[in-house]
Amino acid sequence: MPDEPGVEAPDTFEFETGIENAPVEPYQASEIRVFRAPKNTVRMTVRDERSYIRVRPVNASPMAHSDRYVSLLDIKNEEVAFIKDLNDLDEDSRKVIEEELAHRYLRATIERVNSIQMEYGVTYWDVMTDRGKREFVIRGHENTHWASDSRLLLTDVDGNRFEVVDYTRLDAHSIQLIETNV
Amino acid sequence: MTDTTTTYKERMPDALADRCREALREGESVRIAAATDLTEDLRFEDRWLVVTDQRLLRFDSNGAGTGNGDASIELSDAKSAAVEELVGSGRINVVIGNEDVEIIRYTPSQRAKFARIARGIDQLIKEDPVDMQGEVDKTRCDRCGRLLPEPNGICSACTNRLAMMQRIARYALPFKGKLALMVFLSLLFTLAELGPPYIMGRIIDDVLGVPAGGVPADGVAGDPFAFLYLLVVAYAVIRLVSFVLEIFKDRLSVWLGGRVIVSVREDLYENLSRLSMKFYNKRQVGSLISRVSNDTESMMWFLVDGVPYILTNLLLLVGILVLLFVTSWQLTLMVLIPIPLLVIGGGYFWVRLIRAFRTKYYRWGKLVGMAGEMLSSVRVVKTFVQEKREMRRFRSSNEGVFRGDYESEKEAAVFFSTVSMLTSSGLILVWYYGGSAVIDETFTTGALIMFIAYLWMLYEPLRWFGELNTWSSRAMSGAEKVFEIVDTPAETEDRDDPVEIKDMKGEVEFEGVGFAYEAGKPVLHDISLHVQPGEMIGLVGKSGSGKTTMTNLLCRFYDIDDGGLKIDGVPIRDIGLKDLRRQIGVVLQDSYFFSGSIAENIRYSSPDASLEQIMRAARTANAHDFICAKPDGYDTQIGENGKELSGGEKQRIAIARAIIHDPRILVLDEATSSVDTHTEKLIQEAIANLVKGRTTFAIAHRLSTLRRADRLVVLDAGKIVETGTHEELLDMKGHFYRMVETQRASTAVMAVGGGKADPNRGANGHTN
Repeated sequence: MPDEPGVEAPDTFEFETGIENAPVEPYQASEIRVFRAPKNTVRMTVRDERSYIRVRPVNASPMAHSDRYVSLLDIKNEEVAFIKDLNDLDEDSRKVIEEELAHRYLRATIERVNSIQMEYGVTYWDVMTDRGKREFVIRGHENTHWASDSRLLLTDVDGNRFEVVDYTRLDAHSIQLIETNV
Repeated sequence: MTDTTTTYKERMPDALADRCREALREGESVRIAAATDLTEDLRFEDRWLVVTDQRLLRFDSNGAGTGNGDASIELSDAKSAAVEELVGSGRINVVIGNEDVEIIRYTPSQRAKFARIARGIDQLIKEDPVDMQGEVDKTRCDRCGRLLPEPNGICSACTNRLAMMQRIARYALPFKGKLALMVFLSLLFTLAELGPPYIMGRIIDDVLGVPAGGVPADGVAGDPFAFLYLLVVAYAVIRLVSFVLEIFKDRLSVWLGGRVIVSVREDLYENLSRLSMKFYNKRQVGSLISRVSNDTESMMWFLVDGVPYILTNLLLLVGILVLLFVTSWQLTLMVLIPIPLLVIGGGYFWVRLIRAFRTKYYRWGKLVGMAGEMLSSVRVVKTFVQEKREMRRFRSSNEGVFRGDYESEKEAAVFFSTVSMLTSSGLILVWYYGGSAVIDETFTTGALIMFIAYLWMLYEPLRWFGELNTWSSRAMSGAEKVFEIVDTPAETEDRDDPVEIKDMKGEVEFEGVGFAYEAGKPVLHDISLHVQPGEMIGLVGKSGSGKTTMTNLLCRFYDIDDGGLKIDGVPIRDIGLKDLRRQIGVVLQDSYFFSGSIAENIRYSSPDASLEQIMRAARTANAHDFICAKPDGYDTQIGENGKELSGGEKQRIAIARAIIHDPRILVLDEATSSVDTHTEKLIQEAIANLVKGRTTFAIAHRLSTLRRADRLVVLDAGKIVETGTHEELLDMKGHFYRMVETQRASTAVMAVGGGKADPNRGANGHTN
């Protein structure tokens, strides 16, 4: 922990339970600092006075506002801090939270649609994403959600998530496939 | 030690297997080898996790590159292993020192598999006996390798139309005689239909075409009038016969189609009522209703209209082709020229047509669903004055249906015009070459006219084959959806030889029960509880702590995943569902009633109960008085969900229903609904009467009910955290104590506010 940049051991810890009760009002971005200690655990300190030894950043609205409204939960899933805008945090804290969010939310962005086949109410997709090639199956139209006129969110039968950021910007083949099948 | 539950090995690619063998130490043996589909930097590529009795290793799929276990962890360094479910992925973490270290990432497609593997690793680390039992769901079709629409589901691609038709045909088997008769009538009908053009040709050639006074080729003694008369009479007779045949044939097909659908619908309905709760959790009621109504209806139209149509027209097609070839094979070949074009062109537009129709039906379903949702939540809509918004939503959906309709009809128009254009091109060829042949006198006028008449008869069904295809595909996809339900196994099914428990004592034992509604998201962990016959258990805990889930398992709406659940010492899975449910009664928070009278609703579980028995039950439930006070007494009709009744009345009727049912084990999911103090007292009495002598699980919110319980079980996050009597728990000053304190505090606030803080509670003090 001492080798974490800019971190001094906060002097108030409540170790008897290992858990602190969540504050009545969640702390704001300006009051907190977030860092890793140890490596894979996210710790939060409030004005360098109090420390929450294990917090979990979650997105309050991961689909509509994936870049804002981050809530920090303690291990009892109670909110300890709420960050409206990640830019309100200091640089290092923001980086940690961004990394954690990137870790928590996996949504592959579809870059090319190779084929879409519809059969009996089930759609077979073969796509190229920013994470590599993938085939998946979507049942019914319920799991195909247009977030806007051009942004498409998909959840496959297993719970894998995919996104087309703006389908009109894909290649002609992909556009045609999406227009005729979705 | 290498049986399948203690090792889990997937087949490695050869290169990797070699590589892996090299990496192993002397005497080290592989216990787990599994492929994941996600790399540590979250790309969709294979990674292999290899767990030996000493180490955790990770490889990429060809064994090269990061090779020698880029994450090589000694098991002796690790403390434990567990899965962590993230959004859109998951991972296995091992705890080393005080740190979580990620050892492998996977996508949700592999969730169930890695949940098992993580358990195995944890057991290896802790040197516990390794048990990775449990089926890994099948996600791909065995035959074509396609991803399945749902784990262990039916591969849509491998169920073809023919199989579907055969399946439907099986329903017609009991009516073999009528079926044969219909085929026979169709055959006769076809022959009759083929007659008129032939007679037309003969009239032109042998009667009209013969120069005055000339001798017809093979006429009746050279009298053209007599011959004409004969042909015309024959024509009339044939028409009459085909008229009669058609009537009988159609009647038969309507009868047969209708009968088949009745059986299909019956099967569907029967299975719907047998299906497990897990099934219903995933589906909208509206879409299921549409399967009972729309899908079976589209099947029915296909059977009533489509199948007989195909039958007669196929016969006709064959007959016509034979006659055409006999008349002139050269011309016939010419007629056939456009057919490949027809197939290709038709096929192209056909795909578009189908797509348009699919969209249309989807939108239809959505519209119907929306209307259904609106109607069933009409109170909410009105309360929040959202009629306008609902109207707007409906309007846009309605608009969508119009566009879908328009698009599909547009495609249909293109399809049919293409088909008719192509077919008429064949006709043009025939007029030209046939006409030339008549001029050359190698072909007679009558033959040409006959030929063209047959041609029309040939093209007519071809034009409609397109339409037929829409019908059939609609019917087949309907059939598919219907059979999907018919085929869905009731997840909780009886063993082949269930243990009969006629008279249950009511002893219940949970032994380390674990359960998850969805794989990887456990709701109950390691629940152990021994309940004596007749004991009353109060289940306490925050919402989502697993109270209702426990009772669901007891009713066997779901099967437990881990541990054991026994009733009277018999594992619940071995007890016949009928025996089990007959002796378990549930009084739900929200009681559902069927349309019918109060008496009918009370005796729902035992239809033979006499009115006196019903009244006795109602008295015990403190319901008799108010029922009698109603104008129609026990004959009062209550609609769906009992809209005519007040909350307190509904609860007491539900209790009466449970009393008649006379279960040995009772589940009481107590409503928090607020009733006035007098009614509250009546309900409490009713409950007291009901639980007497029965093993009872009460999900209770009222302190008064909790006091009566022999033991309270406090649940938190799916675990039992405290057990004991009311007093014991209060003395313990733990979870329960805090809950009671919180409740008291909020009641105090309420009291200070003069009961106005909560309109429901406010009613308590003031009414009556």
